[in-house]
Amino acid sequence: MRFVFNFPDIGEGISEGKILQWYVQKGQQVEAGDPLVQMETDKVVADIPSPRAGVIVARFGKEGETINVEDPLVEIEIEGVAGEEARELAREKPKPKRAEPVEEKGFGVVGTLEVAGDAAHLPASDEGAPEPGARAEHRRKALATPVARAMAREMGLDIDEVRGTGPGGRVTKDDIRKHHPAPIEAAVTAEAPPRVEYESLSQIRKAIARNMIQSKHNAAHMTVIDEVEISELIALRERYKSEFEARGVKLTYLPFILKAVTKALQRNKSLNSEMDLDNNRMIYKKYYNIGIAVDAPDGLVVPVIRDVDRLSFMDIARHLAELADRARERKLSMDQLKDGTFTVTNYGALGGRFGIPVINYPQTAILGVGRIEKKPVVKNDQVVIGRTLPLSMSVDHRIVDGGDATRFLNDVMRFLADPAGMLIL
Amino acid sequence: MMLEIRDYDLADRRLLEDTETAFAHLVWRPAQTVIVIGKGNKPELAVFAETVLVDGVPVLRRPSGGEAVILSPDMLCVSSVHNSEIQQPSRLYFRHYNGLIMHALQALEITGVGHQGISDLAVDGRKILGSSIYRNKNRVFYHAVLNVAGGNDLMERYLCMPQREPDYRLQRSHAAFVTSLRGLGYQLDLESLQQQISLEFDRSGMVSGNNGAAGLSSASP
Repeated sequence: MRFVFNFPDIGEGISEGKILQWYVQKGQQVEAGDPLVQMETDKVVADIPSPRAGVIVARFGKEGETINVEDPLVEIEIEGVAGEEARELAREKPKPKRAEPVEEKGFGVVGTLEVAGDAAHLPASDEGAPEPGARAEHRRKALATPVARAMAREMGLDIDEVRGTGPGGRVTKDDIRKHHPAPIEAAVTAEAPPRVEYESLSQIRKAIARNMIQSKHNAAHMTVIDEVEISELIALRERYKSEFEARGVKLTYLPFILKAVTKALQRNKSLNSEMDLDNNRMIYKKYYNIGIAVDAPDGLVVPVIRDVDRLSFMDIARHLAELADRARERKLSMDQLKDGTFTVTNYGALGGRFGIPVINYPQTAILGVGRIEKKPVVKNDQVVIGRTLPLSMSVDHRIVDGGDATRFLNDVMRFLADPAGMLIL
Repeated sequence: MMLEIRDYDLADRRLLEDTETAFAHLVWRPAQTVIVIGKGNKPELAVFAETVLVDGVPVLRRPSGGEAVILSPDMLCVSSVHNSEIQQPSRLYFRHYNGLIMHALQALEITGVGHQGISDLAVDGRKILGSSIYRNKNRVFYHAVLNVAGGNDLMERYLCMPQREPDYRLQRSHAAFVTSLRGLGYQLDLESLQQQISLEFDRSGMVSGNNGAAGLSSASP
């Protein structure tokens, strides 16, 4: 009988390992307990012993390759049952409904873990399962990927009833999808839409997750919110919009906001800083690289406009247009994504008003910009229709006190309310 | 000039080679600064070879897993080996042995130490100890390095960012991720710490009746 032996979880809780060294060759006779292969997981190097005596008929994977837990390692021709005889048996009964769980007895790492079962900390291992069909009269314990098991549970399927087409007879996601329940069950469930959908995490989503957790883990978030009346800014933009358009550039409010932020940063250096705990010091940056949070197709990205203090409004508007295009086309380079010193997120473009943005760590602050609204405001003791811009700013309270944050935001609002000040001050 | 990777020949090598003793441990202090890479590490991805060559720091390949580490006389190494027909999942060994070291630290009134990742001890998210294991069918070899007073400058100078990292590292630099007991404000006598860790290993249930562990403790390789 042929026997596929899978890479077992050696108890580290990891999902993959690297093949460091094969100890056996194809055609080699092995005894139970003989080392088959040396595997490396995150922190452990383990010689994996053979669970059975027999002849190695196949090795899966080359030295240096990484394989997943439960992927096949070797195929062994078990002594006492001839290969052809076992295959003949399999041909006679090709679709086993029931098979005994395979039991491995105490040979070091592998066998012991199998025998130990749930009570000994390990998820049920499918290592050492016979090739599908080889033991037709017994109940078979299904080989399956963790995702397939989760899907089966969610769909109420008995995974042991699903025919696996993966390596070594493993049940895959596709097998679960293709599996047809019994007719009566089908009638009941036919109209029910799937209750969950599975989608692999993209690299960008993983990066976003890491960065967000890193920020929340390390920074002490505090948020201040306010509104600023920007009728003069709106008028200024209207006045120059056509001139910009004539030069092929769309003038939005963002260049003004970035310039106002930069001017305010120059007056409030703690907002353009980073805490360097390892060296017990603060790093105050004298350059002003402003990141813009962009809602790109794959997820949030934050391209950076460098040295905003040295750029004209026209330059900033051009950079913004270029970065937005590249973000949408997924063509941003690493250089365009790094070295930001402060971030602006403009959820107003999507209709949002206030938010509590997460700091782009290790930066110190992030400014959220909401949508412009018409609101009653008091000017010269008269209630008039004003145009207000909501602002929400999160700061790292380790670095910035409430007073610093408020002073900075007041400066930003002052420049937005009186945009001429950006040119004069 | 090629970087030479030496066979592992540090103090705990004898534990690995001694296949007769049922249980033994060793708490030791490296005699010099060395870089030790994991069994599966690629040197060119693990260390800054040119700097290492210029400085003449020896590089050794250990038999266990994990990423490259630096050992220096400001650190303590803890090694243990035991034979057992019935083996446990690796994470339990890490938990057990690292737990013994944690108890030793607590006995010396070092607070806030906890398990992190698969095999680390950390304080406030900063690593003070890393460990790794080599195991075969009936033998488990564990070793760990505790940063007592080492600075982070050596790591930054010699070690690349690791190919794999624990979740709690969060892509931090060596300097931001690793600290020492001294960095945490503890001025410790290395010998006292060494004795306390040995004592914890002597007391551990796993050694009952079959060790000679105390006799293996030594101050340096």
